[in-house]
Amino acid sequence: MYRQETTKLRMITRSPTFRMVLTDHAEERMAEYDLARFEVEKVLKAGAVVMIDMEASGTETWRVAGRDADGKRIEVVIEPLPPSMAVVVTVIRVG
Amino acid sequence: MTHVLDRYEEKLMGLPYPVVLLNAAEEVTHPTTGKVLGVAIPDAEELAAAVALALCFMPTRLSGAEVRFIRRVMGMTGQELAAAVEMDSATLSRWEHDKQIVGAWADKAVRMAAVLRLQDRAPASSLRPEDIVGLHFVPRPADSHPTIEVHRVGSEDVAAESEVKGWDAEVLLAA
Repeated sequence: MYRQETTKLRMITRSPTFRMVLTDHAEERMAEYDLARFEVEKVLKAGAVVMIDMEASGTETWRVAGRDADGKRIEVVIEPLPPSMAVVVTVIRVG
Repeated sequence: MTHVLDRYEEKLMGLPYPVVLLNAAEEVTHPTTGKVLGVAIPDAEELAAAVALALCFMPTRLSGAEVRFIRRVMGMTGQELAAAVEMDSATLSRWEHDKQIVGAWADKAVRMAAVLRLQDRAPASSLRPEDIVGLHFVPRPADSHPTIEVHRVGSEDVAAESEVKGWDAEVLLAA
């Protein structure tokens, strides 16, 4: 787990003006996996950053691990935009 | 940058039909590139709780998908909810998959459990928890689903001397 990034994520999601934005790709994956928006938001608020990636464009993304409402593991890939925004790039079902 | 949309049909609520958001969803553009990133919905967890609460007060029987949605918003597994309302978990599973119809008592028991669990998570809801007791069911037209409209409402936070916003939902039944 990346503690520093997880702490930064908490600061973003606890902001009173926090906004989670879904890209079209993320929306497609969520529909495919039968995941609701509130479940993904919950993962961002309570989950842990388990991987950091740097895309070719120079954009840093964080992979956040958590569980859906049925207890199944999911990972949410975000582009963090401090102080109060996270763009969900994609969602992955694990296992 | 954000732009508030007059009307937005949210398809990722966890229900088999969209929920209509009035003057609440925001189209968001990237702060540096100016590119449209997508749509943001404030407080999605509270929104889901407000919608689930509104469904609990709907005077027609719940469909399987609606029961499953309410359970997921409650944050309970099928076994946990079944145990809470003294129902066999296999019965709840069949109900959620529209393979079994349960009695009105079971339908109401699930709603009561949900209202108790969710009322504090949707503080801006205008529904009164005590009204669930007097709820009487009317027939639901075949293959119909309700229209759920949701809007943001403001209330004064006296301690913080500021306005706080929350979600209020209304279920409109098909004619």
